[in-house]
Amino acid sequence: MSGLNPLTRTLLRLANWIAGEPQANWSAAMAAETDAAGSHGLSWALGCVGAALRMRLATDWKRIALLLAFPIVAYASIGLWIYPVTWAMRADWIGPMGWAVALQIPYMIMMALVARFSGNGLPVLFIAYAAAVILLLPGIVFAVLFDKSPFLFLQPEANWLNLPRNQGMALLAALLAGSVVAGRLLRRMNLRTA
Amino acid sequence: MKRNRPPSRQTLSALEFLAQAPTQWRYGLEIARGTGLKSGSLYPLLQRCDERGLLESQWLEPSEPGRPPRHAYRITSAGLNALDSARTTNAPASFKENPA
Repeated sequence: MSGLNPLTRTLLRLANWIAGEPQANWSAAMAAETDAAGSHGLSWALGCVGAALRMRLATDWKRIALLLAFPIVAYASIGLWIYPVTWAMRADWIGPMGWAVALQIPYMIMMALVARFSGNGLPVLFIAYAAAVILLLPGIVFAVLFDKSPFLFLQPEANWLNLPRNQGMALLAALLAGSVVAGRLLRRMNLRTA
Repeated sequence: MKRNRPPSRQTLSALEFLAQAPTQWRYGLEIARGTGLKSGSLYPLLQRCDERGLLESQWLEPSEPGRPPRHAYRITSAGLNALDSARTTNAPASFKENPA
């Protein structure tokens, strides 16, 4: 295996990461053949990345579809949730702090579900995708419809989760990190009790 | 619930290759060379065949020292049966013309 060039080794690591733990045996099988493929090792390893993707999709397609759809559903639910919560504040049922906290509920549910269902390698993909949808999509919408900068959310006066920019960023980062850590802890606990 | 689809043409060509020497263990690279399949198509179908019991796999010690063990594959009797039934029913024309 040491005879492989760095690019081939990187592709094999990528294939191993994509395939995940349940397919570790197959990742190792593909890696061993790459070693035997000699001068064709690079193209073989490239195919292994494709094979790993297909194997992961075959076994995990429901989870992947859920994770891809999740930020969009969550974004829509946050949009719907804001009306009753704001109405409750205007009716003096809750104060401004209660309003801000209540608006975090969809995010908390979203992160708890991600932590519960995300598998090996998926939290990182999910975070990247969620960041793209939650941050970039509104930016692009603003840029196209309202002729504003797509990086509106990075400006100092930007509103993040109804908080000032830096606090909102910190809260979102904490939620994301917490969901990943909680997910790993849950999996460890499940493994121990299984 | 697992779907029980008929084997694809690629699956049949891999099984056909393995059926040429049913008792012999074959490496992934050999199957790829024998069938013209790329690694991206080969391993998902090997995995499916393994799950369905159409082939068996095992790790073989390397022939040269310092090399990693290699995963080898051999067709099972269920695989041979699947191949036979595919030949007699709805196999692609090229498959029927060139039986193992």
